[in-house]
Amino acid sequence: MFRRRAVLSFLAVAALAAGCKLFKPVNPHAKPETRPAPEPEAAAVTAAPTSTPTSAPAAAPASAQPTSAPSPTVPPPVPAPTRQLERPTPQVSDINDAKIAAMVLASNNTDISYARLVPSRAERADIKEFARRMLTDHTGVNQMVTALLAQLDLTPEDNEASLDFRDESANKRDMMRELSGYTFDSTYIENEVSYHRKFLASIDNVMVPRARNRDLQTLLVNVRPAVAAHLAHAEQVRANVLSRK
Amino acid sequence: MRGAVLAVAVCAALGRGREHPGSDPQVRTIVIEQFTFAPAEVRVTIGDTVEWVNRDPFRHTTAADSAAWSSPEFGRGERFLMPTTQQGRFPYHCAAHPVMRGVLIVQGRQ
Repeated sequence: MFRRRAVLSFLAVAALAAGCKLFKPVNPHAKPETRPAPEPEAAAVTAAPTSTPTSAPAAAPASAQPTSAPSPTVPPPVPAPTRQLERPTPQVSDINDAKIAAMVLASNNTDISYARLVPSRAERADIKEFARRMLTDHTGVNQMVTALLAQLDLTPEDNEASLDFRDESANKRDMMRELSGYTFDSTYIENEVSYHRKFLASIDNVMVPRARNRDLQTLLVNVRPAVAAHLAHAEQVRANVLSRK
Repeated sequence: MRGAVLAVAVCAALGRGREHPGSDPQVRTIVIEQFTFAPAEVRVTIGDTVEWVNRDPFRHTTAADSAAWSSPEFGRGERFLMPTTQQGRFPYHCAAHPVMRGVLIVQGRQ
């Protein structure tokens, strides 16, 4: 009797393991060399849109790239456009201050990495000036976050959203590295608009409401107007670029 | 340096050495906070000094659209002082963040 149960259990586990392998999802935006081995909590992370918005309203829910095990409630993945500029922020479960800190740092580093492409590729003065400002302000935010983390003795904890920011920025940098002149200017500034929209949505819908530490929450509230001002500035520059002023 | 007076600027475009009889000149403060100038519109009397105080954790400037004045960037706790010497309506902005805007109105003394 006991033997029979043991055999049945073994078969069930083997079948489950095989099923997991068969249904292992593929994230086309993921870069194996930049994404560390999945942590145990990754199973609880989902990129599928839910009723709680975690991204800019303009983001198309259909572009979400599932990176966790599919469930019956998750619609089948829809292929994303290859030159998509805007993706929703993945929803992060079990969010905590360490994960929020990682998200802020990753999103700031993302924009810093875009700005570093500008001096050798852009032709417009307003694009170069905008990029210089992004470098200054986002570096400043990183310094504030780093100082606060030291004060709180908190270590940033990577998660689906912070890794998504890194993967996405790597893809976009690869694409923008090949461009120059007007094509670079228009692509860069369009990307800045979508980046700041996404960052703003993440601050409003995830970071500020979910931060538990009051100092971290205050920092996020202080950073928000900067991101909003950057977005408005980017929209202004984009309008000038499109009209070739 | 925190709390330091960054600069005292007398802009050539606003004129120099004018007489302004009447009450003593005042200092009017405009606070830079959350990426806004508050109050957004300020009326002063010629001869008054306008003081911009930065309370943001980001560096800002104050610059007239007409180029009548332009401050260097100043950080949190720093300030920029400017005596007014010419009447007029002066829309201004932050050169670092052009979406930040304000208006300075300089009136004559009665």
